[in-house]
Amino acid sequence: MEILESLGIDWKLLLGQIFNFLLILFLLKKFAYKPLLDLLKERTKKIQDGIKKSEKAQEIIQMVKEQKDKILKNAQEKASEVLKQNEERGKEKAEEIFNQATKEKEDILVAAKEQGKADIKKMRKEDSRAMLGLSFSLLEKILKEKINPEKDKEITEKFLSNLRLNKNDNE
Amino acid sequence: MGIHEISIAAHPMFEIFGVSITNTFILSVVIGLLVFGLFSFALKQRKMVPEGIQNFIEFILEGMLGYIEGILGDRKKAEEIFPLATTIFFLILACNLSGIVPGLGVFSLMRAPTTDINFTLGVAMSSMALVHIMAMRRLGVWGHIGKFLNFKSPILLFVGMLEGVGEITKTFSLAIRLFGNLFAGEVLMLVVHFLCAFMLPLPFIMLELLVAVIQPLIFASLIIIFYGTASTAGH
Repeated sequence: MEILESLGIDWKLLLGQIFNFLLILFLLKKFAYKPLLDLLKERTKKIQDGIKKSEKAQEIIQMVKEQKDKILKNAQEKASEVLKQNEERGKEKAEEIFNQATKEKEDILVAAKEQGKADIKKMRKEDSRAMLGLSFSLLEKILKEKINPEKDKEITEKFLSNLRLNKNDNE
Repeated sequence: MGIHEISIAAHPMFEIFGVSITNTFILSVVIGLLVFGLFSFALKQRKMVPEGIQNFIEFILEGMLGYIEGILGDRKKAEEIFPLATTIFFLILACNLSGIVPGLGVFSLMRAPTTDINFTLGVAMSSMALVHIMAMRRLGVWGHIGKFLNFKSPILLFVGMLEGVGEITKTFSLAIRLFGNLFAGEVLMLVVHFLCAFMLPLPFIMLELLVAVIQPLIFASLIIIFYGTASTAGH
């Protein structure tokens, strides 16, 4: 045991050092290493969760994008369909209006023609009556000077019978 | 202070209950408290996103864990030995570095705890004991002891007993390696300072820094390797 003494080994000090070391080890284990290992594990888990979540979010974004495209496409198709329908309907309506207008125009034309004809007839009647009056007065003026009453009577009768004949022809 | 003052035993400071408390003992307690204080301060507010000193300590401890895992090749075993190996590493590192602090050299008022065999032997004995206890917890009491007391054949019994003696040798070799390196280093520093205290000690201080880092690494690595072999079942 002399070698131990010459090395400076003192059993009490040795036990003290052992106790110190074990105490430090225990304290560090309890207050530093274990919480740290737990923290590392928790962090690893959190990071893994985060990565998983971000992947999921990416998937959802993709899905939403696809859906959006689908909806947009549908809407466009519908819109073009509605437009087409409206166009057709408009065309039909325009045609209808046009047809109606044509018909009305023809009716008006026919009515106007008839009216015109009637007017012309009326005017002719009036004209012939006026002309007749005028001619008579003119004739009277001329004949008063050259013809005697007998001759006048004869000519007038002759003219009147002629006129009646003419009138019959006209009717 | 001269060469004639060199003594292997530490210098007793005072006595408590008949135990002479040496300067190395006091310093080892102080350093232990400092190491614990640093770690508990750094990891007091454990944030999910580490900042400042927490980040630094986490970086170091994670590196240590990775190193242990690299040696053992098993995450679970690495986590089991991690507290012991890390404590050994940082405690011895701090003790070694304390020897370089001016005024804390060998034979002055305070002396690095690792230059006292009581400290190194204490650490070696407790860590080896813990290694065996952890191995027993893993393999069962008989599962572990059975590796050293194998009655199946006389040859295996002899081999097992040799292994058992080997475990004791390992303990002393750990203690004496650390003590020898640090003590020799301190003596070297003293001699160099005695020869010429100006500029000449600088390369030796660098050498001492190297030793101060390498020795705890060797100690911790050996403990990890011993645990690796002790925690595997025998034949």
